[in-house]
Amino acid sequence: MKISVPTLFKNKAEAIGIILFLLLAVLPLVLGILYAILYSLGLIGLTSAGFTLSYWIQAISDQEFWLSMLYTFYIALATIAISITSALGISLYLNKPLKKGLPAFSIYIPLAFPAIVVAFLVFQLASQSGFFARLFLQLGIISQTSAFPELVNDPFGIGIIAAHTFMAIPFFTIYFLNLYSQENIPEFSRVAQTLGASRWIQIRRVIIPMLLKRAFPTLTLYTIFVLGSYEIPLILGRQTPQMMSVLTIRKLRRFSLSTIPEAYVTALVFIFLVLVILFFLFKSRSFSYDLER
Amino acid sequence: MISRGNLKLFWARLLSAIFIFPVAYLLLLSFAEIWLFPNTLPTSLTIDRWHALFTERNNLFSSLLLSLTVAITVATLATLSGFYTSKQIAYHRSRKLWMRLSYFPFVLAPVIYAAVLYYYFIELNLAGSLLGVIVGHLLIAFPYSVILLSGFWSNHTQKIEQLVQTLGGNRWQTYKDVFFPMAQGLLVVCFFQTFLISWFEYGLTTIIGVGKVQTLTLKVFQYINEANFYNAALASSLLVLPPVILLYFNKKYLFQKRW
Repeated sequence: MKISVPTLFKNKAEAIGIILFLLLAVLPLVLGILYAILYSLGLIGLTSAGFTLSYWIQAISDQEFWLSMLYTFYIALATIAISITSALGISLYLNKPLKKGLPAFSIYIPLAFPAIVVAFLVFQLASQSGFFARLFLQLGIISQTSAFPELVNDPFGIGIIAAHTFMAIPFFTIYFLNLYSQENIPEFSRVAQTLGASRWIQIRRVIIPMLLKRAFPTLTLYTIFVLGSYEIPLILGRQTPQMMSVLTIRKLRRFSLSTIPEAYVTALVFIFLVLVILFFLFKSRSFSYDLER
Repeated sequence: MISRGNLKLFWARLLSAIFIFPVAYLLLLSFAEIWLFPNTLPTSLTIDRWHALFTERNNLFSSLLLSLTVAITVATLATLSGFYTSKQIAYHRSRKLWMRLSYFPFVLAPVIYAAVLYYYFIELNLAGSLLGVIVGHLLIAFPYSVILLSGFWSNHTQKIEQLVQTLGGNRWQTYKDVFFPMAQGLLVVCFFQTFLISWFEYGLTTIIGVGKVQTLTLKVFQYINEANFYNAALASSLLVLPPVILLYFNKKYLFQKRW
């Protein structure tokens, strides 16, 4: 009788594939987190003097750290809220005109912009000496540039939110337009209409809930992208508060070596937040890994 | 009276204008000879900057070539390795675990990922080198390619593979004559998407490349810092034009339902 012994891999090809995946996707992440943990606990690094929690205590008791975390979430949530509302409005109202001609092409254009170029553009257009301020000045709406609202490097992150929104609105508009036809939403809408629902009720009770429910994983992952954005807040943000990624790199690159462990604390907290969000995302809505497609 | 259809068309065109305006603005700024405050338009235009880019083969031209080299290498490696790996993962008994793990490096902020990995890049003598930047970009592009290409593998493809083997085809023939032609469209999309991941990357490149590997995104930042906005616009135009050209050929190259 042949006894089957469970092996790690079915064959050589599978072993190569999985090992490649572990090497490129899993191992670097594990090693990176491990290094940051050890550094933040004073066990390795240039300032290492044995195990200590002082860097963690120092980082967590710093007001800047909490302010940065709040600011990061504020920027991400504001961006997502504005983008989703606008994208829903655009995709529902301009459903047909956005499917043909120039509008159908131009809606994709912002996707061709890297974040650093968008940041540069917002800086050029919305600063107090930028294009819009000049235009307002020429039109006589303002008499001097200082009268133009501070939209770049401002305390409320308006420039940062504007830059992210410029990229997110087209992305979600296209996404919703695709979902609208893929999910047979017009059919459901017609059923609701047959049952006596007005257009507004159809939008509020059928179309929007269906779109948002289906788009939930994408929305969550996009929020994580905004949480971790770097170039845009680097160019359009202020010294304080800073988004977590900018704060991490600033602390890492300071001349003082003592801030390096604190930089790793900020990085680890950020990674932890991402892991928690992903954990709940995977738990709340199972991604389909079914091979029956 | 404006009809409802015309009003919608008006808004759609206004939206188009809003999205096209940045491209026009960047190009205009890159051609501006003098565009001083408070003028809303440049006082004079010049082609010198664009001309110098291609005739004198200056620093910016080197950055363009460098960015192209990095992005094409990353896209090729990520697409091929992602195609192979996604198959092994799709049919593995723990595929749910692998698929979930593939999201972590992809969604994590690249600059934070680079910060925690920087030490290993120094140890491996990869920091500040072209190879280091390519490897760094691959660490983000590869998981993305696995996520994207995993959608190709199904029970149907498995049955086709078994059929090819029954008919005497070896593994290489299965890939060459069956899988590659079948997945051609998706592979092209994956190539361009991973190309753009690398082409757009700034944070990881600046950390791993230690500022020495001057890709176009780093040039844009450098010019902004130097308040050289004309050159920043030129470098930005170079960054934006290839994706816009791709868009002209196929919208899918720019937008793919990723999740």
